[in-house]
Amino acid sequence: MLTLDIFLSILFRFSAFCWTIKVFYQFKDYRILVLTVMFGLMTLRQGLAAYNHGFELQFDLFTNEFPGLLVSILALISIIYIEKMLVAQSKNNAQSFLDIALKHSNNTSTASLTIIGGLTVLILGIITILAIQNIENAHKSKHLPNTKILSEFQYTFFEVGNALQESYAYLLSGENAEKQEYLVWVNKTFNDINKVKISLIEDNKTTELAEEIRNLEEKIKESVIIANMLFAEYEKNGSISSSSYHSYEESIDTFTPIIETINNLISIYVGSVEDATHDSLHTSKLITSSSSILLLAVTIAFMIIAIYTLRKRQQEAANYFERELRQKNEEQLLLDSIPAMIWQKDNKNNIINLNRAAADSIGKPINEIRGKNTRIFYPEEADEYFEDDREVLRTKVPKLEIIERYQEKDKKVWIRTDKYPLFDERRQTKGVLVVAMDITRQKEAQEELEKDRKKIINIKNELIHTERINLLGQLSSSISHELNQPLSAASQFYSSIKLRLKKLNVTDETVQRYLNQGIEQIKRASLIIQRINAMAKKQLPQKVKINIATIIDEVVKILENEIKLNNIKIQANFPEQPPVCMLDKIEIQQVILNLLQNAINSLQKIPYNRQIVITVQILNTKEIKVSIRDNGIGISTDIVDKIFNAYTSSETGGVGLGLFICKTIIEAHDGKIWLDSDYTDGAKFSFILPV
Amino acid sequence: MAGGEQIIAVIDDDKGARQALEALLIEHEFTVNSFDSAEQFLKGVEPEIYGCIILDIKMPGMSGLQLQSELIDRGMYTPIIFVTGHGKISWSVQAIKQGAINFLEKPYDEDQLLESIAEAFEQSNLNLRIKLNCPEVIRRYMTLSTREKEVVELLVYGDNEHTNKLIAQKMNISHRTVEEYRAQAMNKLEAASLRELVTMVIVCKLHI
Repeated sequence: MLTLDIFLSILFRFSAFCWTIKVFYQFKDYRILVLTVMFGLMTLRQGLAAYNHGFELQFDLFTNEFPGLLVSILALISIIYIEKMLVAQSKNNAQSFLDIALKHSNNTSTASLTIIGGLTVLILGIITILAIQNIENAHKSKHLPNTKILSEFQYTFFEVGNALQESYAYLLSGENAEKQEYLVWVNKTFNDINKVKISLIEDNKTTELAEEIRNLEEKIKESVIIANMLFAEYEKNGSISSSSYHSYEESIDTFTPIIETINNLISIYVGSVEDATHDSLHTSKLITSSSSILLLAVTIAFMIIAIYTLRKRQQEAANYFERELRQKNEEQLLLDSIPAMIWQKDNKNNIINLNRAAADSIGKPINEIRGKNTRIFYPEEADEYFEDDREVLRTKVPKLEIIERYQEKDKKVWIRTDKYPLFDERRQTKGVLVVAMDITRQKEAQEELEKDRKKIINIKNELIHTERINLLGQLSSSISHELNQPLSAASQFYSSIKLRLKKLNVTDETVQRYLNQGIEQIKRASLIIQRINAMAKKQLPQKVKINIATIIDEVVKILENEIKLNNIKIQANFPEQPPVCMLDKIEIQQVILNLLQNAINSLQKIPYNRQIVITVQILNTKEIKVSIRDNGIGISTDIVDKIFNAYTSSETGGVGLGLFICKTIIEAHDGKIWLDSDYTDGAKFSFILPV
Repeated sequence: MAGGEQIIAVIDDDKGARQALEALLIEHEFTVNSFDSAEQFLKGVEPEIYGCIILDIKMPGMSGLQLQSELIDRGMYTPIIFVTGHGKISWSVQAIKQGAINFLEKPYDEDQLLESIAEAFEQSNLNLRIKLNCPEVIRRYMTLSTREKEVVELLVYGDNEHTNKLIAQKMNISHRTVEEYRAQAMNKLEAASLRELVTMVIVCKLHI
């Protein structure tokens, strides 16, 4: 009988089973699958119980199966609760939450534990159900048929006894037909008895009963034989002797106690079987309930584990997201710490993200700018900017060094912008990265540098100019000096002539006059020379107290480019005390310039390792010595003596006045300049200047 | 040489200047030997025969000043007149300190030249006289006190110490004391002038 509790139990369990399938399908969680299997087994178990009880519905709620109903209800509730939780999580982005959390979860042990647990439950469940079924079946198949037949057989024995007595009666009455029928019936019953006897013999518990039945069989056989003898006798004689009659009665009487014994035995046997069945049914019920309880316990345990691990996953996912958020914040911090302005734009001129510097340049907080179109903040320039964006998006290469100039209040501002394409996972451009820097300072520095460069070029030009003028001065000075020699010689010769004429007593006036006029002219020439000298002297050195090291530095700077171009390594050694002396700055600059230029020229003729060493020494309180040496090709011996002479040149293009001018200048400073003959690795020029 | 004519040496690398000067001097009745370099001069006859050397300062090879030093090293104190086309005051100071008579810049005055020559001859005679008298001079020098010798030395060899005041400062005594020492020294040495004193010291190589 299918009681109501079993029926409802099945219903609830099946519902729970279906629900878990739905939840599993929705959330794809393998632990739900375990629950599915469990509920399935539970349903199956209950179904089999129903099957064993039979399918007639009985409206009895509170039977032995009632706890099972409670379990079913619990199962259903639990799956509903789990689903609600999962839905709640998914509302908070937990779908991806869990996915990410699960993906990032390192807790494989729980997973394997769950799988093992699930399998265990599955196996246990199957075993339990099979075991239960087996037990009940074993009992029924073994004992139920036997007791049924025996119960029926009890009646049969009774009938056999009756039949034999009836046949005796019929024998007495002489009705043939019926007596034949009864014998047929007895024979048939005999077969049945035989069958039962055989089966009873097979069962150990019923061997005693089988014995008795065999006894009865024998007796019945005897009775039947006697009965047949009687019939035969009646047939023959038309009557039955009382002795035969007696023996038949005896035989019939013998099996009454046997039948009684058999009946007793059968009763006892059936009773014990029923008890046993009762017991086994009891046991099976116990097993069923305990298995249900076990299943329930395991289910609850797993639910708890599931909930717990779910919680844990939530926590991990929350942590993960917190870290992500923090990282995102740190990334934003990093972006914000960069002084350059950075914008991330999509391909529709919208600002996706930007850093603090960029936001400041617009003058609004980052949040107000994010996501909005560039046009809102740069109404006039948005189109222009977008043009650049489009170019970058189209060509897929960066556009660099876009330089713009703004007037901000009263200052000029230079901005340099670089735009880079941004790609998505399919290598399509999805936006532009804009990096802009304020390069006003650099530009200003550049302009300063330009100015300095121009200044230096000016100084250089001035120097060249001055040199030319000085050259002129020196030339005229040297020419006039050279002229002095022949002029004074001529003058002396004139005087000599005068004296000789006197001795020769030549008094001719004309001769005297000519001589005097000649002397006049010479004097006149002398005056001219003096005037030229005076003019040259006007270019007299303006002497000031100056540190020679400074002059040397300036000249080196002027020749910087040439020195670098020719790969010359230049070294200057200055004394600790500043070498100060009275000198004309421009003139000494010229000397150093000339000497350095000569060094450079001579170094150009050697392939590598070109060096110039400038040394300044304070010799004593009165003199400062400057040496400039190089490792070039040096001075050829044939012009070594004449090197300071005018118009001596080692260059085919040179005039040969450079060193001559140097010498003049140095000597005008009361100094001395010479070529160091001991130094043979190149050329070493030294000069001494008085302090 | 004692008595007789004094010979002038003219040394100048410039042929024209040399020949012109030589001619002029000959017309003034001087005996002249001319050389185109200091080296040639030294290679020639014993320099002692000359009463005066007219010398160009700037010459290739040995310069005039170098020749002067060379002669002094050899113990010859022939008076020198320097001539030059370039005026170099510092050199002239050096030249004169080393015993030059005068320093003439071209073009120089004829009279100036003659004056300098006369002076040179005078000096030459003085040199000779003192040289011959050196032993006596040395003896006289020995009679000087240490302080007197110091004063003499400073007078002759000091840089600018010809003034008593500077010598006084250097020796840490009053300049009156210096004057006294000087007077006494000159007395003892029987030097009639500072020039004589200097000549004595240099020619006889007097030293402390």
